[in-house]
Amino acid sequence: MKKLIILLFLVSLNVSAFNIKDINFINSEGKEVDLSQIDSEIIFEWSNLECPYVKRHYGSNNMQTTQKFAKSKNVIWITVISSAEGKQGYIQPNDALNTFASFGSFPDHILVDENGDLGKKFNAKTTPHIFIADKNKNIVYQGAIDDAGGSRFWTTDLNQSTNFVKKVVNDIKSNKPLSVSKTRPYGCSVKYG
Amino acid sequence: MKLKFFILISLFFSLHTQATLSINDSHSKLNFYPESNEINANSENILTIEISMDKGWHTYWINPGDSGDPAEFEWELPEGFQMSGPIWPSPDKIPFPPLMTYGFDDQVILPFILKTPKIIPKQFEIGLKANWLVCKEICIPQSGSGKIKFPYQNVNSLSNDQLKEIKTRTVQKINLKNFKVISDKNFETFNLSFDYPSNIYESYFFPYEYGFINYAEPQNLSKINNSYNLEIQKAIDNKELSLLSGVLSIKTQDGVFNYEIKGNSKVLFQESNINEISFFTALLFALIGGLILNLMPCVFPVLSLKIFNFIEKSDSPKEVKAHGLIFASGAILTFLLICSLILLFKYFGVQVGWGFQLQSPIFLTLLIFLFIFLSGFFISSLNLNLAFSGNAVSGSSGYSGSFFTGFLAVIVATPCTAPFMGSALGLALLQPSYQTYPIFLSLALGFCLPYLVLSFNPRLISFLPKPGPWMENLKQFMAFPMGLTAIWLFWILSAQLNRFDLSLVLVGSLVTIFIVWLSNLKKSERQVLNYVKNLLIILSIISLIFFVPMSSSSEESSKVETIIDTNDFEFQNPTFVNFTADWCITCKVNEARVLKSSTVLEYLDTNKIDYIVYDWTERNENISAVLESYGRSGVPLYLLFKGDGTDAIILPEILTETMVLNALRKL
Repeated sequence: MKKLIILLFLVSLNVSAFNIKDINFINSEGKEVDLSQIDSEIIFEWSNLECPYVKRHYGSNNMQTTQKFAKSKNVIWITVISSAEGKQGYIQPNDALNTFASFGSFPDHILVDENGDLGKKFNAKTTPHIFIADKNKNIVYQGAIDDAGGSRFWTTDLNQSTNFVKKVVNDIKSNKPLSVSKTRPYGCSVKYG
Repeated sequence: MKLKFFILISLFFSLHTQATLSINDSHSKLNFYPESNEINANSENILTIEISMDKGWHTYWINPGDSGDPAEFEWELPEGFQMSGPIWPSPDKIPFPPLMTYGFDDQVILPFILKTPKIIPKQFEIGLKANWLVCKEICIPQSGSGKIKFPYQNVNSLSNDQLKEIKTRTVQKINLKNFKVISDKNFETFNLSFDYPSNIYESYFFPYEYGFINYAEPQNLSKINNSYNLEIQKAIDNKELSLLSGVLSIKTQDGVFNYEIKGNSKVLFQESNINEISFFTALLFALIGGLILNLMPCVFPVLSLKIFNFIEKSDSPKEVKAHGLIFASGAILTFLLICSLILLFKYFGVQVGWGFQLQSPIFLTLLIFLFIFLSGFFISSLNLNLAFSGNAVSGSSGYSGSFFTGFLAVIVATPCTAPFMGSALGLALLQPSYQTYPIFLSLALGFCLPYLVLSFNPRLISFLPKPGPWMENLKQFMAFPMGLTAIWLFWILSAQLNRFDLSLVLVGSLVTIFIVWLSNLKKSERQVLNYVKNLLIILSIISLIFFVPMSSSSEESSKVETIIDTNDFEFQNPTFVNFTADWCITCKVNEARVLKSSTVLEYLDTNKIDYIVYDWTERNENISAVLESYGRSGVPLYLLFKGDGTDAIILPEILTETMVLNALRKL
């Protein structure tokens, strides 16, 4: 019993206790973003537009649809690019908004995290890699965008896969316990410096 | 079928041929190799796919690690055919700090097994669609499809390099000896523990599934005795460790060997064991244990002499103090010497635990001679200090005698320490040496404490009885506990030796008494006779060597159950397991008072609970390994198995009937 309690404690500690209230950063437009000032849920999307996985998610419109859905529910969308300068996926901050807009993606903020600071703080491993924070700025979901990961990724219709991001946002908005809180992220490795 | 694969794999080494099917993509090429150019009905055939990539590119394993994906194959087969696989070979680590991935650089060879039905057409086709990911700095998905017609013509064998690659990466389905997963108390790490016959340079565990381990953290290999411990950082998911499956890769001087861990491992929780005693508690226990040692029947007589010594010298406090200090340093040094010896044994991979000395017939015999010798000295009128000190004449100083008494006290104490300090010493021996030494030091200090206190407070000595003839009487009486100890040691020895060797030990004991008698003879007026006497003493001492048995020669050495494989250290039925040894007093007391009592025996019998005894009187490495896996370095150890695969319940070292019955009722 004692063992069980410790275990439960650790599980809850490890999976959800990661809080991002104290984080602030300068976005691609040079504005300071203080996460504690944002009064809604936040979705973080780790991205690298040259990574084939990200390409497939954008190419099939899956990422854009997910983003639209989140924004319709008043959730803030932050796209983070942790590729170091000179590595795959890196873009100049002042090109960032236009580049993503040309893909039909309109995040609330883009962070060019070329030093990998935020990426390492979040322990972001792949592109894409999704983190969802609730209103209290606790990370309640981390992992893949959907269940299309693994060997079947290249042949699956992404719009038909189970979208974890939509699921979690729906759960939060209807005050239900989350049906999923952690999945295996899949994709290219984040190109840290 | 898995077994068949290995038979097949050795066969196909010579038979493999290159097919016509080959898929080219931007950075890699897929080649198809069937086992032979003909495929028979109702058979299992190995088909192999090789993906060769441009230099510096890699593809992923079934568990890609932090990023990436494994290759995917889709087969189009004639009716009734079945394809299984790929049978994943063991991968390499491909680090991308701060991330870690698992995969294959430059090329990978993936075997599949094709099962054919009873009737197959003369000619048929197999279609393949493949998707695989190759990465260097960046990742590029590759894909292609093709058809293979059977039977086919082109014959082109796999190269020797390719065959070698298959061989070194093959994952063996062999159980590693004593394999178990040990979960640490802090839940942050776990250990894979296993025995391995040769020296391991490097080892790494590749998990099949996501969520068990933190890929990027290094895995640390350490060696204790013959068993290895691979320490792995847990992933925060806290998955059920007994389900852990994957490939354990081991590098030795003979090459790399890969073993499959199947996901049904035994998991031990470190916290339920001795490690719960903190270091400082262990120090305190050792100190108290050392104090109690003084009262042991085997130690007390020797120490009583020390007290006599104090009493006699009570008029010169300075000298008493010096003697006390020298005695203490003798005792402490001896303890540390024994400690170093054990650590040295461990370093060289010999399985020892506290009390191991009593498993050696040589040591036991020497102890018997020593106790007989002491017994003789006590009963005779010789002065022990004088006898042992080099400058025997100067009875007043005799510092070396004091030192030797310290040494002797510890040596005679060893048979008694084992049963009483199992827990603290067990901890001490499992700890790194910077903790082992303080614990032994604390034990030694506890042992010497009364004498140090006495020698530094001469006033306390005045509370002791005044010197007088009673001292001589008491000293002579002490011969009897000494004799008893010798008999007890002889009884232990009798389990290890045959009758002939046992008789030799008895003869040696008699020679020992002869030596005492000779030494005790009054000095003759004729010098020649004194020379003869001294010569005889020396010869007798030398002759003792011939009465020491050099190895155990028990006539029925297999009366004990021996554990063959600790992987299987589990029981199908409810079972009470008793680890015991003849020289372990606690064990014998427990057995006499509790385990052999009619109530316990009847309960075991009527409830069909098996009772199994493992005898550790003689050193047995397998039993030592099991003891160690439960955090013990010695006996007794009592385990209760429910018989349903759950972890054993560990009972305390000292048993009572109600305690055992209560525990049994819970089964």
